[in-house]
Amino acid sequence: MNGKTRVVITGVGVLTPLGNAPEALWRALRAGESAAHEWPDLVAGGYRCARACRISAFQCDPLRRGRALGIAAAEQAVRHAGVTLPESAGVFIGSTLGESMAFECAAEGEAIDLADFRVPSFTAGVRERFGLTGPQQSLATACAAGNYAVGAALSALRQGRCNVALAGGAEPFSRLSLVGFSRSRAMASGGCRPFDANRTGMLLGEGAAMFVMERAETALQRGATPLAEVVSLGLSCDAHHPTAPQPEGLGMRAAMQAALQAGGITPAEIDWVNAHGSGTRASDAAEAKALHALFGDTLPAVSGSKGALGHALGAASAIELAVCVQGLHDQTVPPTPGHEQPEAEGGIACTRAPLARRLRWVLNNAFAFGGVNSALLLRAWAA
Amino acid sequence: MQIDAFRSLDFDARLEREAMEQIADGIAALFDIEAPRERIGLIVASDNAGTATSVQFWLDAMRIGVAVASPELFPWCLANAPCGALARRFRVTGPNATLLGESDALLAALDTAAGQVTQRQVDNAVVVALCFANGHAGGKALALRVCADNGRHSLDLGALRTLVDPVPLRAGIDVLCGQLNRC
Repeated sequence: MNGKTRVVITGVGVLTPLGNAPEALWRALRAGESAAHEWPDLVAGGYRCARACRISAFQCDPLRRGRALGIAAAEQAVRHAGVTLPESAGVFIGSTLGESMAFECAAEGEAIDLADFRVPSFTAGVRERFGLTGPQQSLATACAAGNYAVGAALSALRQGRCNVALAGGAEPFSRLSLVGFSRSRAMASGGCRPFDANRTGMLLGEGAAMFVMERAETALQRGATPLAEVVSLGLSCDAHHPTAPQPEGLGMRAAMQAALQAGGITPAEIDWVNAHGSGTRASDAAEAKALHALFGDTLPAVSGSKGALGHALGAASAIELAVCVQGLHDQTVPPTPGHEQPEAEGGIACTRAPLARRLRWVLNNAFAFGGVNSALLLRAWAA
Repeated sequence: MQIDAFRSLDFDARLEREAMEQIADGIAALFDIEAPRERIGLIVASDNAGTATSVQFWLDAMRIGVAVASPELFPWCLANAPCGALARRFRVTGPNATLLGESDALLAALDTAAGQVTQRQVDNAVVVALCFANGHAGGKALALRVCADNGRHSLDLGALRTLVDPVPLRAGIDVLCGQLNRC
């Protein structure tokens, strides 16, 4: 096994504000729906931004919401893949901090041992649920954590450290993040409008997406149908500012270039970019510059889903990977809810309706506070 | 796995922002490398990054009010803030990752660094293990630089795994320090 070993996704599980199954999410996204609305409890709590995308149809211990979302998504993915997980299966989960509510309750004086509520508690929960003892990683790379987790699973499978892996991201709704982002003036005054000339910021979301990943050879031997191939993960760091992106998008471009280089393809071969597209002035402007600089005249279809789902932080890129997998399956780029009018100069005209076209190569971008840049390269499965 | 330099230190700052100033000063020598900055990887393994600041941020928000809370501490609530701070201080623009956990996170960080170097994604990778002060114990850090070959220290990751998995990160740092000092 080596860097050329092909790795595929054979099962997907999602819990999102627009549906708790990949097909339901896809139908809603294709229809251009958005889950954003004002929440009475946030209004009553005095939060500056009471508009958000949350999952109503999911009940659990509120202190364990992130872990419960991750486990439920993993159960879906395993059922979807039709796989019996070996004990040696790996678990790779990304999130920002862990159970935000536990941190809030601890600050408010409740006797809580926070050691049991950080991101590793999500990973431990999934391992316990399936009785797994294989390799594990708990990635805390903020809003790019889902991409990182899938990349870590890709490495582990290629290195032969496990034969099958569960990977993805989980994020409970976080009042702490709601306050932090709104007081940092990052929140939208209305809806989230990725790459729109009139965008005003992001909306907070929540959710989880988990994937069963296997070496292609193993998947085919057991009769599974690969849903998509995970080819490479490109990474870089801006090293520029704690929260603002490098304004020219140099790091974002470097991450995309690294993914393409590792995949052995050129920018012109990319058919679709699922953009990070948070809807903030600075991040979308930098991503637009990165996309134009990398692709030039060959800019592929660009879409984004944060106008529909909000920003699920550490789960966002995993949820958007599920969208990419579904898009490859349907050979359709979904619309970009909230996007109406691109910037007149240097803007990105995102999809505004489902776009049916031949899709082979897809990039899933995810960027984060701390200057973290990631781009995951996927390919439609072909034997 | 080849390691050409390492530093360990104790620190006493309670919040991540202040602690990182002490830590960065203590490990600065590891970033004194000729390689282009995009050819350096940086991986942080921590058991509790982001915890102290998150609790403090929410405490302040509750006291002042959620609508008027100061956003100043918020970026430090994220567990990857220490890694970002090191990247900015030392202009490291290569791959950057933060792993949370006990010694399993340290082992995974070492594995990741070794992989990046052997696959020639980077020329060097710096791994930083961080235990922030937690009310019971002070802060502890270990940083080491992984290189492709001719390192001053040779580390057997398999052997290390049998010694530290699944001990707490603080203990794992001590074990690894002992191994490096013996090399």
